[in-house]
Amino acid sequence: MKLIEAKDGLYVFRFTKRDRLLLTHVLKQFPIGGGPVAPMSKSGDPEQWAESERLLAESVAEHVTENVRMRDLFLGEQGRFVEDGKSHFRLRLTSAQLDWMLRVLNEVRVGLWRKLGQPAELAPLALAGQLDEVVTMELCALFQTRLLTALDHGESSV
Amino acid sequence: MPVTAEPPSVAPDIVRETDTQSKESLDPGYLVVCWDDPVNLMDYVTHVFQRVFGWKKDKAEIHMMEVHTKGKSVLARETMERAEFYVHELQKYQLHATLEPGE
Repeated sequence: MKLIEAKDGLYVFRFTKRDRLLLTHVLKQFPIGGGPVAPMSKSGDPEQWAESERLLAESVAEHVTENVRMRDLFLGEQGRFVEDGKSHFRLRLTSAQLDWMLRVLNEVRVGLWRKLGQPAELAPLALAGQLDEVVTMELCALFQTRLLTALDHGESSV
Repeated sequence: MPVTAEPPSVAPDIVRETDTQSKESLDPGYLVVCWDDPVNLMDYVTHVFQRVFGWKKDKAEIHMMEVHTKGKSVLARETMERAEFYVHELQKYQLHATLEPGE
């Protein structure tokens, strides 16, 4: 996945077939787990925050539902990946779409991390039978890094 | 010929308060706090702060580094409603954010 153009809030990436397969693979894993990543507050009586917690859970659930809908649209959209030569594709993203993809990739990454018990380090898990999850988390991080670098490039060229 | 009455001369009294309090002490509000975690990428956290608060990258990076090195950063002091909004937005980006009563 390589940025080839960033101009006027539009980002164009060049993908190999393998990049495309891997991105599709991680996006298809969304959503993993669910619910808020933290309580509404660390202070005071939890009962005091009960209503806020409920609203937070509701807000997060709506957000996940919307992202599933957008993910399905994204993966199902004809022409989203435009052929570029025999073994490459081009993907165009607006800055809003790029932000959306960053979020979804992060949700897969954080979802897997929570599923694995919120470990401080991943390496021991890779050796303990959780290699698939660890590799997927690293793939998400790789794509996220590329997208964040692209955003940086786009902002500096404005 | 009717005589126009003189308008009454009324002016508010001006009482100057000598004891003043800061805005914070009058209304401590709620703090939006972001806590460190071992999973979110540093650049991603910076990006989220920029998106949610509309900050420049420099400011977002200062808060991200504070989260990373000190374990947490106070991102805003707001009313309950506004602080809740920010916590919702940050958690939708999977950041470990909470609201805490102001001091």
